[in-house]
Amino acid sequence: MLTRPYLGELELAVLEELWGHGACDAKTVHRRIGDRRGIALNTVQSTLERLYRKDLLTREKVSHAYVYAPSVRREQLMERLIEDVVETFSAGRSEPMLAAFVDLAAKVDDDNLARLERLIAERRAEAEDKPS
Amino acid sequence: MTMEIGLGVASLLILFCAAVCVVVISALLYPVAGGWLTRLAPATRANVLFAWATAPVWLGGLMLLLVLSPSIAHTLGIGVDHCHDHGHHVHLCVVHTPWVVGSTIEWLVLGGLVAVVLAWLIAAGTRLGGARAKLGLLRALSRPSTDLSSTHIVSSQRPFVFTAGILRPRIYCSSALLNAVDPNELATVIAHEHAHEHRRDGLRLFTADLFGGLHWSPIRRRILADLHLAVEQACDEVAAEQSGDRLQVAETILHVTRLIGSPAPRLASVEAAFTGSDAAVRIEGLLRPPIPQRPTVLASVSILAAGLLVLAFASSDWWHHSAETLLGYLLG
Repeated sequence: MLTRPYLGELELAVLEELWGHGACDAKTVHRRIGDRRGIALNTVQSTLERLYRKDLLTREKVSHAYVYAPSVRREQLMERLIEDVVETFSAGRSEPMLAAFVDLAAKVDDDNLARLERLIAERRAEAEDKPS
Repeated sequence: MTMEIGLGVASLLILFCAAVCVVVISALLYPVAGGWLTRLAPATRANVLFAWATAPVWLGGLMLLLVLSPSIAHTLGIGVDHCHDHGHHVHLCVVHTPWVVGSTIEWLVLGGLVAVVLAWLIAAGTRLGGARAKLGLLRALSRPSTDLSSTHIVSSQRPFVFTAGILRPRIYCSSALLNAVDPNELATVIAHEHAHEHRRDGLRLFTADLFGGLHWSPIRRRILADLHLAVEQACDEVAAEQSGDRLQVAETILHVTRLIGSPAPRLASVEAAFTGSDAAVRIEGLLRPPIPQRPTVLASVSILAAGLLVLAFASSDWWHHSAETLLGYLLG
């Protein structure tokens, strides 16, 4: 459904607008979010076109203009975007600017973890038995 | 016959030769140094590994400075360089040798170097740009936490927490992880991540990765893997110091590993025990008393390094003439 490159800030803003207010044409979207950002109607139209080509919007011609509506729910897309981002970050330390509490690509070896759990429990018991 | 290159290309060739020497020495020494490095406290080990990873650049620069130092000292009036005719090899003089002479060999060397550096910069820039775009998207999809400073909460069913960013690091924590850990574990996780933020580990790891690319590939991978581990252990120690309970940190790592990790393939080799092995090594490290910082060791190493530097600059004439001779051989 969603292919890279990731959504830009304006694309997200347009989607949020459509999720919030339902199907709109380019002029309506521009009036609501384009004016305040100081961007031209053409830019909004291009953004809508890009989102349509990414299969995130459907469109229907009404009179002389297209009316766009989201083709995915917000929650679905957000989860998918987050998964994409986290997956690429977890691809074997591909991003050196990132430090994870536990390696995002960590593979769980249950036997090893059980061994470590026992070790921790032993240390805890020793610490509690130690006279203060 | 005077060699037809200017000081610019000569300096670049010296930098390159010095970097190659550092890379070769590193490849020979690093496998041996591993045991000594593990005896260092994690924060110190991280600093040493960072210096090692970036050594081709800073040691190369130091070598260039050393080689040019007689000429620079002469210019500053604190030494005398003999600027007689060096017809048989390049004369490394900041006063008499032009930076560019415009010869064919110069253009070839410069052109090749510019192409390599450009390719490297473009690759690094593309990667950095891609990572920043992803982080920007993650930031847009998250909300700043009202309780945890510098922390963004991402609504996701997948448990994760990491600190990312080079100049303005931020912590990203999923709602799934927040809901799965108890308050003590959360405090441990956040203390660990804040330590990454304060230590500028994103910048450290990025720089090491960037300049570490000059090392021979197998050694580079080892240095960077060891650096990652040292950085994580240094932050574990900070979290342990703040909570006063090393076992608490060990238990938290274990719990989060179970939450985040996917099942490992059942392999017979030792490697299976160490997939995601950073977590195991970190936990085992926390089960031992902390390795104390040893100021006397650091002081000794600093004094030794300073002594070597003084010795090197005292014999700068030898380095200067050796570099000129080497350039003479390289340029035929």
